[in-house]
Amino acid sequence: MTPTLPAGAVVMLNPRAYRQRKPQEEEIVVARHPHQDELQIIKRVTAVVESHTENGTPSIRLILASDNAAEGTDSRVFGPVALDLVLGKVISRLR
Amino acid sequence: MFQEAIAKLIAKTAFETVSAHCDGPCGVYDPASARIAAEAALSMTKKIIDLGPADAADHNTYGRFVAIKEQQAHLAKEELLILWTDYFKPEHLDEYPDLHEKFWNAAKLCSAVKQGVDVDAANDLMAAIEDIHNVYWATKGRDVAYYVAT
Repeated sequence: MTPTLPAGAVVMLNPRAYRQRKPQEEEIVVARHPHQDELQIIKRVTAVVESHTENGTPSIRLILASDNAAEGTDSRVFGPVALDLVLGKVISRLR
Repeated sequence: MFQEAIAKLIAKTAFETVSAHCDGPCGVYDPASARIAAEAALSMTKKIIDLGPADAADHNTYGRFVAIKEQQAHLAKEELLILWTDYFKPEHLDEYPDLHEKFWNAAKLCSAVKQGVDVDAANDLMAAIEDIHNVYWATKGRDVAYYVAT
């Protein structure tokens, strides 16, 4: 996420941010990688896609982008990310 | 605390989410809806250029053309995002490993068409949608010819 967040940056996360509302474009979130359970990623939300599954359950998926477009992996590589993989919203950088 | 309060206020008043032709479980997908919107945005891009520097009498026309171009480019993006996130599944990646990149690039082109007056971007978007059309119908096992309205 350079230049916004250099490697080793420490951030504060609000894990409850999306209990009452949906993510919004431009917010930075921490999520579990869709294909690598153990890996947590920090990315910027570029789109919020809301729809319903075939049985009518609401579903929200995010398109996530690296600020460092040249080197970071993001939804170009791993595709849309389900909201339940999002661990919270980054609210500030501590270090 | 103050920032949180502001964020809550914004969330309640100015919320933008994507919902395209059917924000529901209809299961009906067709890249044609994105193509129609992108084609409209391409048409408006050309009309804006043809209009040239607008004199005062043309300002309303110019404003209308810009508004329609932006609206249609936005709609094209919404339709593509719905197709990407709702229809396509991980198994489709086996045959189309660059599927995510195709949609990513197409969505970026929608933004470029919306923000600027860029015939090249609008044509590139049409080409990207034709590519997605071919992939989509191949996954359905159907041979559906691509066409444009104009």
